[in-house]
Amino acid sequence: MKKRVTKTAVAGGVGFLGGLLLEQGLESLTGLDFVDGVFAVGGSVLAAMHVNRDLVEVASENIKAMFGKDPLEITEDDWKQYKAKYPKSAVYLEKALGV
Amino acid sequence: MLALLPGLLVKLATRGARRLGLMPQSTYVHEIMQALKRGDLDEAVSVYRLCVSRRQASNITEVARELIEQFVDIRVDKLQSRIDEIENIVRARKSLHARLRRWWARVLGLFGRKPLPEARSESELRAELAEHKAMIEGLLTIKSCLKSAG
Repeated sequence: MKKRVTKTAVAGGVGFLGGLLLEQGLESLTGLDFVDGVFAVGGSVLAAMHVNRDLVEVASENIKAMFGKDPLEITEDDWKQYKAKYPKSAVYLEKALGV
Repeated sequence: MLALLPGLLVKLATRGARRLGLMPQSTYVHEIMQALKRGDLDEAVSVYRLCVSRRQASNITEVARELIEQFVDIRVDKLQSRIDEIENIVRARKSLHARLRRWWARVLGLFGRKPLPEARSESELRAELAEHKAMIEGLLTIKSCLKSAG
């Protein structure tokens, strides 16, 4: 009985180590994380949903760096200046923010 | 082993499609925005070029291009203000007052007095100036490349 338990435990341990080695070996050989692959398509769909927010965030940071003010604090002249220089971004922001 | 195959195939396919510029433009725009948030201009430009390599830029991609241009303009402005600062320092050093101060510091040095702390040498400032000017040139080249790629 004792001998059988020992044998089972050893076989289980060897199997576990073998599986671990196989997984690590495959990952290091291919450089891929297999679970991520399944999520890649989902990732691109999510990216499409996040684009709008990303664009507004980056534009907001740019406006802050350009005028030294928070986008909510810029004057109409500042906005006109921005719009003249970057018309597409300005129109996009106006639409996105419902201005 | 077989259970891993679909995931592997999907990953390979999406990676290949991304490299060939076949993914939806919003995917690339998202990547551009992430790169800009990190301040990685090179990555943003390379992803933009990949995005417009096969297809005409959509409206959202045009907005992304303008955002990259804004990023470049901000950097150019910062470099230009630093250049102006350095040029003012170099100009001030040539004034009579500054020359007299340097001469007086040398005289004090002859009598064993501790000299005044040395500011950065002119050659160092000129090297920084040249570096900034080269960086501005590089940024403007990137900007013109963006326009031609779109």
